[in-house]
Amino acid sequence: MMPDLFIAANHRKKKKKEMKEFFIKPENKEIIKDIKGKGPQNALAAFAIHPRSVRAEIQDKDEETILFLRRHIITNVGWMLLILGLILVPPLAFSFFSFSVVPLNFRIMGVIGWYLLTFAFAFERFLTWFFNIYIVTDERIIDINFINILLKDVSEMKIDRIQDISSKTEGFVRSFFRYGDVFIQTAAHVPEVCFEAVPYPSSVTTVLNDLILQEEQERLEGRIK
Amino acid sequence: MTPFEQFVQNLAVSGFNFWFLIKILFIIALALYLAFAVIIVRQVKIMFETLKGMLDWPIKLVAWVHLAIAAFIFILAFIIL
Repeated sequence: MMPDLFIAANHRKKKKKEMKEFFIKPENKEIIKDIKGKGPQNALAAFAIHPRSVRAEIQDKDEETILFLRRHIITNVGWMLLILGLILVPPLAFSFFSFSVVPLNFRIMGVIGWYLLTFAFAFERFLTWFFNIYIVTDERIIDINFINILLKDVSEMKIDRIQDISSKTEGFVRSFFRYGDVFIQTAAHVPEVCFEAVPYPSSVTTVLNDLILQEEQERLEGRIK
Repeated sequence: MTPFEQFVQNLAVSGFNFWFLIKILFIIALALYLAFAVIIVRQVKIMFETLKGMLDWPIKLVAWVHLAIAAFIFILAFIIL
């Protein structure tokens, strides 16, 4: 029987299998198990490992999404409380002032206008949170910024351009809810990328370090894309 | 009588149609708001094109309902003011 000289078809599958095993190394298993139990993979999730469906437009077909991150949901509490205050303004204003000099139709339109603006503010804040996303793939980091309703910014950075990663969790709220900032120093034209207020910053750092090691391994083996 | 009420009354006495001016300002503000609602719908659509695979229909629905409400209030302002 003749031995196989070249097997190309399974190469990609093998690489993917290797990769999956790589990301669930024994020392990472506990972290990932711990996170998976706490980070629900729903539309409002701030942390997801290997989200099957979520992909950025600029991602290649065979590029796997490793991490999906956005700011911790608790960071929305501030503006939510402000909204609560804004909702209470018209009833309080009408209980303190009579507004008898203002015709009824203008009073009605005033209240409607107030609630419309309040809703617009809340929706804009929600969209800013919802669409400010960080995606880590096996090849790069994608930072999608929805700065405001008129400004969208998408930047990307190759994993092999990363020079240094650090994470910071400070303060009672951040320690209690386990979220913080991850700082990524790069050799790319964007010198520093910051994942702001993301859940489990130390685990994100671990995964990113593993990815860098994998990229170095690929470079050494000469199978870098 | 508060200073504001006195100011409004003085304007009414002098024959200046103060409430007509307010009506115009209301309509301009609501027209701007309507444009803002249209931008939200467009921006939500663009963002979901940038990010594929996310549950998009609830947010798209909210954006469209918001646009419908903004249009309705714009028309309402013409009727009741």
